[in-house]
Amino acid sequence: MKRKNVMFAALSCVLGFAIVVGFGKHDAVQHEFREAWKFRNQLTQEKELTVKLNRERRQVEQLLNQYENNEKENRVETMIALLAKYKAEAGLTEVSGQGIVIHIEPLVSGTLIGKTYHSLTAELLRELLNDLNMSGAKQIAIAGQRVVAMSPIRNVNGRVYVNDHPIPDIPIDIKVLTDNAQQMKEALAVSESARDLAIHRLNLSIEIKDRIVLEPFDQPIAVHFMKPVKEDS
Amino acid sequence: MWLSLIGLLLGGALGMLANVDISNDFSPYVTTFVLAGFDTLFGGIRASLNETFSERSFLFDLVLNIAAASGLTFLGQQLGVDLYLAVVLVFGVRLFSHLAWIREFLVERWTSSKSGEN
Repeated sequence: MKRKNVMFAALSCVLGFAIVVGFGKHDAVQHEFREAWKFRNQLTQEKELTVKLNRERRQVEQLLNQYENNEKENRVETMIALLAKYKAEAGLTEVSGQGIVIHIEPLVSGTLIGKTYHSLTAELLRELLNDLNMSGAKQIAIAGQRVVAMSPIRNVNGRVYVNDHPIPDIPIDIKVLTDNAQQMKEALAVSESARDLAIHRLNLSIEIKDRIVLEPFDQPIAVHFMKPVKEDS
Repeated sequence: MWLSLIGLLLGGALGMLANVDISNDFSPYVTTFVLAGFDTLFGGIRASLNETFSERSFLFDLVLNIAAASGLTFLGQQLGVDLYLAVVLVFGVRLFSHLAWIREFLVERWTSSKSGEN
């Protein structure tokens, strides 16, 4: 009788061990790891956001100081300077500076039985723009078309349109303003967009220039969701 | 039966302390092993309540159950079919039938002892 109970207890013990080792613990460790990693990522993002917001707050406070301290004429001057700054940020002015020029050209030249082997699509261009923005591009112009926040890039009848203008056949140039041209060149050389362009038989050659000039965005920007506020006083 | 419960808790505690991590590939084996083990355990308890318990058949049952369950799981993995689900189903049903029998037996014994007192 006693031996029987010991056998039951021993089997239960082994089963208890198997349950804990097999299920609970394994999942718990995985979860813990995953959650810690997720939280750390989130924390980094939030910290970056804090730094960015603080910087913006400082700028706005500085501006407010300028408004408050200056005379009326100076206030107008400050406003004009601010407007110019925002216009430049929006891409409405011609800008120049250090940057890179990307030539997109066919990887293999020539045609076979009249058929071209390369094709530039809006998707490829958008992917390239994403990579450029990720590696710190300040301003971009594709074949003379300045890319602003609202620039559409579309495929229309087999042609690529930027800002509702068809861009010419390749080879084309993309001008990019950046603070660190060398770093951007290296990042682009190993980027996925360069690989995808190569799959479509297109080659990127990148040239670093001390001074490039980007044309302004030449169309009116339609503002749908903003209205001027009338002053109360 | 109380000793079984204590054994289960003791095993759980040992598992927590042991800090053993097993790969995900073995989780169907653990599932089937646990179910086969519980089936044998409750089968043994049922037999012992029924006074038909034999140590030899208990051990034989345990080994055979675990071997069959693991074998089927292994075969399933080789064929790419989740055969361990069949094991889970069969042992699950058997487990419930053992539990139902034990519950019925205990309730019957309790009511009869109550009526005996009266």
